[in-house]
Amino acid sequence: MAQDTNAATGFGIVSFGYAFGEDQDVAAVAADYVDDPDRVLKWGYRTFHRAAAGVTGTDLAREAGQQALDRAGITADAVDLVVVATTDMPEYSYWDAASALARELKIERTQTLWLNEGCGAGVGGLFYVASTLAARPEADTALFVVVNRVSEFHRNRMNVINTVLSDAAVAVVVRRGHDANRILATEQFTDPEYSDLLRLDFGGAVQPLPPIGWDATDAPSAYDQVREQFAGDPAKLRKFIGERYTRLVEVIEGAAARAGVDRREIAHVIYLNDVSTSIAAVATPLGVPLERTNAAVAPGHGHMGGADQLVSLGLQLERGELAAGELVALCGISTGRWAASLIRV
Amino acid sequence: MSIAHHPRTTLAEEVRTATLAWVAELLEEPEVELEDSFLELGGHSALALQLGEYAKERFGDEYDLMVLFEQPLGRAADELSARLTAAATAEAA
Repeated sequence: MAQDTNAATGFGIVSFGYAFGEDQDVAAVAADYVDDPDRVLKWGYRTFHRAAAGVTGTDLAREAGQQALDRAGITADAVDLVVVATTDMPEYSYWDAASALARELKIERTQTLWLNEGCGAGVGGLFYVASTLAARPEADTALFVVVNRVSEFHRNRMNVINTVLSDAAVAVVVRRGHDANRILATEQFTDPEYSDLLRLDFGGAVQPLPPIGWDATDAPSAYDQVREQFAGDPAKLRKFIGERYTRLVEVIEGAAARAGVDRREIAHVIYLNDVSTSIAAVATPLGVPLERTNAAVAPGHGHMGGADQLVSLGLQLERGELAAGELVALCGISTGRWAASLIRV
Repeated sequence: MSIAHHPRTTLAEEVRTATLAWVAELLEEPEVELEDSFLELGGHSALALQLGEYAKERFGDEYDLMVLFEQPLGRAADELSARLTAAATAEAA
């Protein structure tokens, strides 16, 4: 079923808000994180954002959320739903990031949802916003915030995957019947075989404490974990790496079919802030050139977890790079989860 | 050099030469050596797939990604040429 059958019942993004950690020059600080900074520099990132000590993910989320509300011209009490997606280590256990944000925004009572699904959550999360509003006819306005605040105790931001992890939050106000930036449809699926691919073994109930002498600079990289998962099975590794991209095209095509639009109409592809060749690997099969992706945004921000796609969408809209009526595909991968959402500008 | 060994050696050299040229092109590295590591040169999964496509188009098969990621480029090239030779031998038998 298409999420948006017509403008009156569909949902559109009214406004964007952002909060970025302090700008850091990749070339100047890479050697603080890895022994081989040249390898990091070759990925092509110029700048990433690093939140100052004491600035939490909730702080970033509040700043971005308040900006989105202000830009929409509404106050927090007009929000019927608060959805928060966090894509790094949460601040606490036995705690709720969405509830915490609602309190920070001085909302006294609302429905909340916290997603903690990795880097595709900013895309897949739009489904939960739209479907919740669809199931609550009396609700008109949602605040969706995606925040990535790297815990440098747990992870080395330059050695997790082939990107520089960055601290930022993005917020959007979504309103029923808003006719611009409409969320047409979301398609997503999970392949549970990869549930443990980026797992950190400690910090949960099974192994609450880190090993003695733990240091994030020595933490295993994603490649180490990939090697462990696929040890001795090159065919399976080849299949996994190939499917990373083919499955993104699959969910984009699925979203197009769900929305009832021709996928050849897709004018822009916004993926994670990955290296440009990876972005091209997603966009090229769809006939979208690199110039109409987030490839130009990524080097200046780094990989902001699940916030990448909505940050790019907002910035590209503000720069006038996306024209009214154009179809934009947002897509991303979490651990074993592929997601795409189509936005009609 | 035996007649049987000659084509294998030629193929191995061809794969090695092509591997260095492709890696240099994809990673925009003017000088690539057989001892270099794909990952340390800045290689990643999307480039590995592209490299594999080049190899498949020219030689009919791809690199073993585990070898490409973990061993020097020369080893990845030799592993591919050994597989190609084995496949050709099996086909001829």
